[in-house]
Formats: sequence, structure tokens, C-alpha cells
Amino acid sequence: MKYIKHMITISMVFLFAYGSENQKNSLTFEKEYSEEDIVDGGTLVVGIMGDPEALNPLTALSKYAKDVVSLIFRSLADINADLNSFSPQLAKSWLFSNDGLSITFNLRTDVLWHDGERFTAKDVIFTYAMQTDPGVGWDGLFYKESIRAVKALNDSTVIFEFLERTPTMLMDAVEGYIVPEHLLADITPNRIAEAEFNRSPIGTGPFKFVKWKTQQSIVLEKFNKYYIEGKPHLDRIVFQVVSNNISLWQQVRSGDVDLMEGVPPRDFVKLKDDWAKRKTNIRPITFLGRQYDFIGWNLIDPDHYATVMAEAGDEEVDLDRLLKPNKFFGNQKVRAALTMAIDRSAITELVNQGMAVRMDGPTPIIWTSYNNEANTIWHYNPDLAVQFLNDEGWVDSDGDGVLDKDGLKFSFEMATNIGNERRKQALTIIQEQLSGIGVEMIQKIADPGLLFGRMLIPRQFDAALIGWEVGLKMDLTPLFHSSSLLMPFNFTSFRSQEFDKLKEAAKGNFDRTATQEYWDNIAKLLSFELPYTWLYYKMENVALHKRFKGTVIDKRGTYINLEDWWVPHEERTEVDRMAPN
Amino acid sequence: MGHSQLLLSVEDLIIHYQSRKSTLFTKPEIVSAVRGVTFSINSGETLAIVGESGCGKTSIVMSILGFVKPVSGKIKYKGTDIWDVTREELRGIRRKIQPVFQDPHHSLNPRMTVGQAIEDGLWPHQYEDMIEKQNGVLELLRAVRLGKEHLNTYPHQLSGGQKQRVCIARALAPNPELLILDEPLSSQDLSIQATLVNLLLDLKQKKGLTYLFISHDLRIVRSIAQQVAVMRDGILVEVSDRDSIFNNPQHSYTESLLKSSGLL
Amino acid sequence: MVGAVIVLIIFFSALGAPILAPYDVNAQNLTMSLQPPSTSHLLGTDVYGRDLLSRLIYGARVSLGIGLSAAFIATTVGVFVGVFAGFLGGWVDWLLMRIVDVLMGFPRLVVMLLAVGFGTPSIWLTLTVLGLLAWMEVARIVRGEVMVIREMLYLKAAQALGLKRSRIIMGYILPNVIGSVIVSTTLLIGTMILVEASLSFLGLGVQPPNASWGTILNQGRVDPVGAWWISAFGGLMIIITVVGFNLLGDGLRDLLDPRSLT
Repeated sequence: MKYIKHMITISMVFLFAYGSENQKNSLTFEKEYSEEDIVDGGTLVVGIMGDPEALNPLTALSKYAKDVVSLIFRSLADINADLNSFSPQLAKSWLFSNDGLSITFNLRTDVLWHDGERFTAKDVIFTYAMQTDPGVGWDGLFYKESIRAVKALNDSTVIFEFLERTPTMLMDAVEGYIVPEHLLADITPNRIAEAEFNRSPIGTGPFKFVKWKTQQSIVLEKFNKYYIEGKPHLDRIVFQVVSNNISLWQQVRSGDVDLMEGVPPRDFVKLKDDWAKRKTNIRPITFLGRQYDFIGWNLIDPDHYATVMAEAGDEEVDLDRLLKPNKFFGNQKVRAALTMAIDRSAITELVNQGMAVRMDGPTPIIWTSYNNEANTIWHYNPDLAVQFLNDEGWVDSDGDGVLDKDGLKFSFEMATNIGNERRKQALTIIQEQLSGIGVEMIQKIADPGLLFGRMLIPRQFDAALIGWEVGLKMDLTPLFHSSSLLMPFNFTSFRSQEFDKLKEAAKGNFDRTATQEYWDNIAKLLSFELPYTWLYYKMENVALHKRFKGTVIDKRGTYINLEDWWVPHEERTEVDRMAPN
Repeated sequence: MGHSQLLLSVEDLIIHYQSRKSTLFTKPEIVSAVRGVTFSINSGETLAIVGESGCGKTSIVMSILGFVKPVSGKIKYKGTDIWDVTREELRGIRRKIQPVFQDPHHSLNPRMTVGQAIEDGLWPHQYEDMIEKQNGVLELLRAVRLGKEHLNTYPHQLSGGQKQRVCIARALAPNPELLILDEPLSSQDLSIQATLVNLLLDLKQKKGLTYLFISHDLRIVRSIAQQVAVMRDGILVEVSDRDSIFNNPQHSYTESLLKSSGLL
Repeated sequence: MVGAVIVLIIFFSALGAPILAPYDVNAQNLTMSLQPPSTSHLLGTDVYGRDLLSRLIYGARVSLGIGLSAAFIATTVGVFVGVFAGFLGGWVDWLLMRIVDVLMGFPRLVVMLLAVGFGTPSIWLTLTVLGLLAWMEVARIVRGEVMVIREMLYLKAAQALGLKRSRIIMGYILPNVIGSVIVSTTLLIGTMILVEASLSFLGLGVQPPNASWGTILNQGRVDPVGAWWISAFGGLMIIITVVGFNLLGDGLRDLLDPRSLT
């Protein structure tokens, strides 16, 4: 089950990596309007590059599905821009118990589902049951792992009881949208994927579902009985499915689409220039997003791993026997040398057109725990890289220009997924820079399914240049903890007692300074050990028609306050006057 | 010339052509080209088949050469049915029956020199070495009154008459007994026709050849043939010796042919 | 003989690439990314700051190599099949032509993807598969020619001489189809260079960092307007070469025609 969960998340990562992306610190635009100027009406057309698979919070996986779902549904509370505190949504308030092991939520009593039914504590209890049901396969299950039980005291009060105290208790409790018990109770959990509800969802959010033309469009309309009076302001949201980002970008420029995420860097740079010169109605919005690219080194010997796994069959495998150090990358000094041989600053700049930040350590830049001071920074230094390799016995003894050691040539494959020009370019630069220090790297461009299913998960690879999508829960356990060793995410097979100890010590620690110390130690350890060579953290490039006011777009997402967006009468276009159809 | 041994006999030959290929929806359209023809040639004789174009003369030639299989009837060479032998036997018989076609321009491979073309007709084992083979080729060239200088020329460098001589030389190469001359002169100028007729008569005498001479030109036929067969619409209307045909035609068609040639 | 001159120039620049190329072919200079043509870089630079002229010169090796070899394979197979089908006729012809029909219906790219998916991507595999997927057109042309030649009087005369089939094919048929074979081969060379370009884009052709005109052409897609010189010069090289080979083909055909020997 756990395996499946990870698989799902991995496939998500690639959906993201292909096309569009998200958010930065809250940027509010257009200051010249005041509260009194706000008027209702208007239509927002969003261009998306894929048809959602389901509009059910329990089964939605792709970014597009999750984006649409976020407008139809509400959760108990919503994370603030500091990524630490929360604002109330369906819960009016909450209170930690004295022992710190439970949280009591006071629910709103004025919330209606889009079909007119009243929202109650029953829905919260039901949602938790569904989220944690193995038959459902909800992809946020790991948020709920430390929760022992959820109980309703009455129609408007629920208690979340925890197994242990952790710094992320509140986040764990409120994660996930609440679904209607009265509509889903009759559905067998493992048949949820076939539920009619997935294509005609009923939620409590500001916009209600109207219609869905497969591979064409999804239309949402303002929910008039939304629990916040006067919201939302827009009448209609249309998600228009466009097959690729080139034609989507054309539709944005022609005015057919108002909002696009994932504008190609080159086009975005031009857009920024045009916007500065007031030559366009399309506003460029950029912020640190949720995605970074890195090289993962296989720390173990792939052939040995395959042999032992095959021998073991279904039986338990002894980790010490299974994990034999990789002949190239099993050595920290070699990894350091390879890292120093790569000009990460130049790559960051070149392949992203400046729309990215160099990354030196494991902590995603949007996390509050990010502190680049803590990282060991391996600056570009090919000479030192050569020296490191020579020290480890890698020398060019046969004069063929490639280093060797005990008859073994330093030649390996670095894989990436097909169809990502940015990563392909990075790979080409890295190839040339490695050849400069006498290391032969062969590019391996693979289908994403093949890359994960046949190479990374069974550990049959040398090195991989891929990207992760960053979650808001600050936790590196799935990537680097020894408990994740045979799991898909810890694909480099990183094992460090020090990391495990730090993790253990940080558990249940609520002191901010101490927590930061923990994160600094983690960063220091991993940036020195280099299971990854981190490359760059991407900026997200969003284009939005300038008539939309009151927008907040940041690292949490592009749609976080859509209920506040509005369009002044004088700026309305044909699209806003479009009759509902 | 005196001993009249039967060399080639054609018995009740019927040849059909498909003028249209059969498809899923249409039956093939059958055209009868030769509708029961019988004649024979004795060794050392010249038999001429005369008739207007399209009467079936060429079909008979193609059938004798083994290219078109008759529907019924027999073609016997020295008593052997050429359509009832093995492939290897056929190759042997074929070399004894050599054709000279009407159109010398298309009768020679444009990418072979005169020497190569003639050389191909010599038996591989007929000559001991290259020099002897070369001499054999030269001898044949001389026989058709061409010289050494033509050895390495390509067909397009020769005149029509010269080409036809090369064709005759090539036909002589395998030492044939029967030459099938399918209107060999009709594409030539009158002056050349005369010299070629002389050449053919000369060769016949020297080499003891037998000719099957196909023509529509009665003047030439009169100067070359002993026996004449008159053909019309796939059948032979009259077969007789030369003098009977030219002096005392029995069939009205023969008569009209002679009239139109100004010979009667 | 303009064609011969063009082909020879390209051929010799490919041979002399190490001398002619002004820069190291794979040397990157990230600070010189996408520089337009200038005196230091006559044809500009690519995304990685590599000298485009040097890469085009080196790319000639790969593109010519692939074009010539694949066209050679395709021609050999095509002539073989075409002669057999056309000369033997009957069921042999029927069977071979049905095979040709079926293969021509195959989408070339799908077959390539499959072949490369099962094997390891390499220039040799690419080349072989390319060649084996392109012979059908040659086979058809040759078969048609052979069927015409089969009815020629000189062939009847040769058969009447009792010549063996092998002699008839080698002496009478092949020399007479060579003209059209040469023309279709030179056309094929151009096609093969272009197909290699599309394969390189899928990561199936030339492996990076090696340059081929196809990969260069594809790199131009990064910014076709802003960095026009990459696609423009890459495409120009392909066009010049294809035209050069076609002219050469015409020239050779005339040259090989005995009528021109006088």
C-alpha cells in the first residue's frame, strides 16, 4: 500500500515536471483600488495542459485535477504564506489539549454543500475514514500517519487524537478537503475511482461545478450560498484544455486565455520586457515555485543489488548484504569531485534563462527551515575535482583521456526523462564539463515510465538528473531516512546513522531555535555527503490578464484566493460578458 | 542444298493472346493470333512467310523461338517438340535457331560494345583462350563485312545497316542451322537492302544455312525464297514454291498482294 | 558537374574537419551562448556557446556517413529485390511486391522506435534500420525498369543465344537499370540525412555531444526567431548537400550512358 502511494506521488512528480508549475511570497498587485470599488461579475479562463482524471479530492492526482478541486472544496483550515500558521476555513477555531496529544476543532454551522445539505461534523469524520482507508488510496495518506482517531463530540465539534506530539500536528490534521458524507457513504471505498461523484462533484467551496467536456473544458460558477458573504466576486471560471504550452501561450497572447502557468522561460523573459514597456495586457508573475532539479547518484552497486534481490525472492533481505557501495559513487570524495566539476551557477542561469536559483543543499528554498549558510558549498573548481579523483586512485593510466582505476574506466550513464528540454540542456553541459576532468558520461534519455519503473525503483542506474515537486510538509524522511531505503523515493539508497539520529532528536521538539538547529545540521550533513548534486530551484512563471484585481499568487499556489479576485467594469472584455452555456 | 532433310515442322499451330489481364471482375479478353498453321522447312531451303502486318507472322516467330507458348499444335525441330523438352535441352536447340529482328536499334544492348555482343553468342568452351575468342569475333565481323575498327564501338555509334550486320554476326556466333529473319530489311534504305540481301544469300551458301524469312515485301521474297507461304488473319491461305506463287497465284489474296506490289 | 564540386567540397571538409574547424567541436563556452554570426564565430554559436561552423563541419562526417551508408544498404537490397521480381515475374514478383506494399505501409518512425527500443541506440543500428526501411521505393523503380527491359528485343536475342540467367542479369539488365538506380540513390541520400535529423530529435540518432546536421537543426527549435542562425545554417547545409547529390546523380547518369561516350 505504501508502495502504491509512493508510485502515485512519483507519477505526479512527472506530470508536474512536464508542463506547468506553481508560486512565492505573497505578491499583491494593483494598489489603486479600495474595498468599495470591488464589484461582482466577470469570467476567468484558465488554460491547462491536461484533462483532469477526476474531480474528487480523494482520488485527484494530477496538478490540474487538484487545482480545480481546490476551488470546489474546502478544508478545515488553510495554510498561511509563512507556511507555518493556519487560517480558519470550515473550522472556526481550534485548541490543543493540555497534554498536546489532541486538537479540538469548532466547526462552522453556516456552511452548505452545493446541493443544499448542511455541512456537519459527520462529514469530517467520514472524510478522515475515507482518507485513511487503504481501498481509497488517497495520495496524502502520510499526513495522517500520526493520528490515532478522529471523534465528533457533537454536530459542530471534532477531536483529532494523536499517537505522539510532532511539530506538524495541525498541518496533518487539516490536510485534505472535506467531502460530503451524504453523497459518498454508500460507495465501497475500493470502488471510489468509478464513482459518478468524480465527474459531478459537490463541495463547500466558493465555486460550484457546472459541466465538464472531456478534453475540452470544465466550467465552474459562483456558489451563491458560499459561507463567506459577498464572495466570490467572479461569476465563472473556465478551465480550457490546450494540448501543449506553445499553443497555450499563443492563446494567452491572443486573449482567448486569461491565466497560464508554466510559461516557457524564453517567452516569459520577453513578456516581462513588454510588460515593463506597457506593451501588453498580460501581467508576468514570477515566484519561487515548488520544483527543483538535481542529480541523484546511485550509491550502491546495481548489479549486486539485482542479484541479491533475485536470490532473496519473497524473503526478507539483509540490508548490509544488499547494499554494496557503488564502484564510482559509493565514495563521498568522488561525489564531491563530480559536484565541483559542474558549473552549477552557469547551468542554473543558462537552462532557465535566469528564472531559477542555484541550489546547494537538501532544503527546498520555500521551506522556512531553508538556510543556505548551513550548506557545505562545493564551488565550481575543476582543478580541485581532478585532485580529489587522483587522491582516490582515479588516474588516466592508459592515456585515453578517461580516468581509470584498477582497469575500470570512469564512464557512466546519466539518465533523464524524455521531452524536457531544460534537463536535456543541463545534461549536455554536465557531459562536457565532466569530460573536462576525464570522466565520460553518456546521456540516457528515457521514457518517464521506463526511467522510474525500470531504472530508479529497481536501482538499475548510475546517475539520474530529475526533479522533485516540493510538498509543504517539511520532511526529508522519504528521501534520505534509512527507513525509506527500499522505498522508491530514496532511490540513491542513502543510509546515514547520523541522519537517522538527527531525525530522532528533532521529533517532538517544538522549540523553533532547536528545530532550526536540526534543519541546519541536516543541511550540513547532506550537502557534505552529497547523495544528490543539487542544481537549481525553479522560479514559476505565470501569465495573467491584468484586468483581474485582488489576486494573491505565491508558493502556495496560483488559485489560493480566487474568491477574492474581481474585475472592474471598465476593464471587462467579451469573455466577461460571455453568456453561460 | 540437294538433300532435303526436314529441319523444322510446324503442325496445326494455334496461338492466343490475352489482350487484357484478368482481374477480379473481368475475364481476360482472348485474341487469336494464329489459327491453325502448318508448314515445314527442309534443310538448306528458304521459306518466306508473307502477309500484311498483324496477320500473325511475328507470333509464329516468337513461338518458334520459345517465347510464346502455343495453345495447341506442335513445333518440331529435327523431330523434337521444342515445347516438350527440359530447360537445358531447350537452350541447346535455341542456339541452333537464331533470330534477326526487324528493328536493329532495339536488338542490341546499348551498354555492350559490338565485340561484347558477338562474344556472348560464342560458346564459352568453343575457344581455348581470349585471343582465339577474339579471332572468332573478328571472323564473324568480317563475315558480315565489318572490320576490326567496329569491335569496340557501341550500337549508337553505328548506322542502321551496320547494326543489322552486327545482329546477323551475333546470330551466326553459335553456329546455327536455322536463321529466322523477321523482316530484317524493312527498316533499311533501298541501297542497303540490296547489299544485305546479297550478304544473306552469300552467307547461306557459304555456311549452308536454312532461312525462315518473314516479310511483307514480295520483291525481296522473290529474290531470296524457294518456298513461299501467304498468310492472312492467322491462317496460311497458300503455300507453294516461288514460281507458282509469283506466276500462277491460286488464291485471290495472293493475287491482290501481288497486284498491290506491282508484280502482276 | 556542379553537383560533383559541391559533393567533393562537403566530402573534403568532412575529411579535413580537424584542420578546417576553427574551434574544438564540443568545447562549450557558456558565456557565449547563442551569439549571432560575427567575425570570431562566423556562423554564430549554439545554446552551449559552441561554434556553429565547427559543428557543421564535423556534423558533415556523421550526416554524410549516415546518408551514404543507409542509402547504400537501401539501394543494394532494393536492386536485388527489384531485379528478381521484375525478371522472374510470376509468383515471385507477386510475393515480393506484396512484401514491399506491406513494408511501405509501416510508419518508419514507429519501426525505428521499436528497433531502437529493443536494441541499444547506436549509429550502426540507426543506419541499418534506416537502410532496411528505405529499399522498397528502389525495388519498385527497378522492378518497373526490368519489366520494360524484359520485353526488349536485345533481351530476346540474348535468350535465344541460350545465355544463363546470371549472365542476362549481369550483362543485360543491371547495366540498363543503373541510371535510374543512381538517381534514386542520390535522392535517398538526402532523405536519409533528413530522417536522421528527426531521429536525433527523439534521442535515437547520434548520441550527444556528437554533432550531426539533424541535431543542429533541432537545437534551432529552442528559439527559431531569436537564434535564427542555428536552424538556418543547419538547414542550408542539408539543402545544399541534397541538391549537390541530386545534381551529381544526374551527372553520373549521363556519364554512364554510352550514348554520351562519343
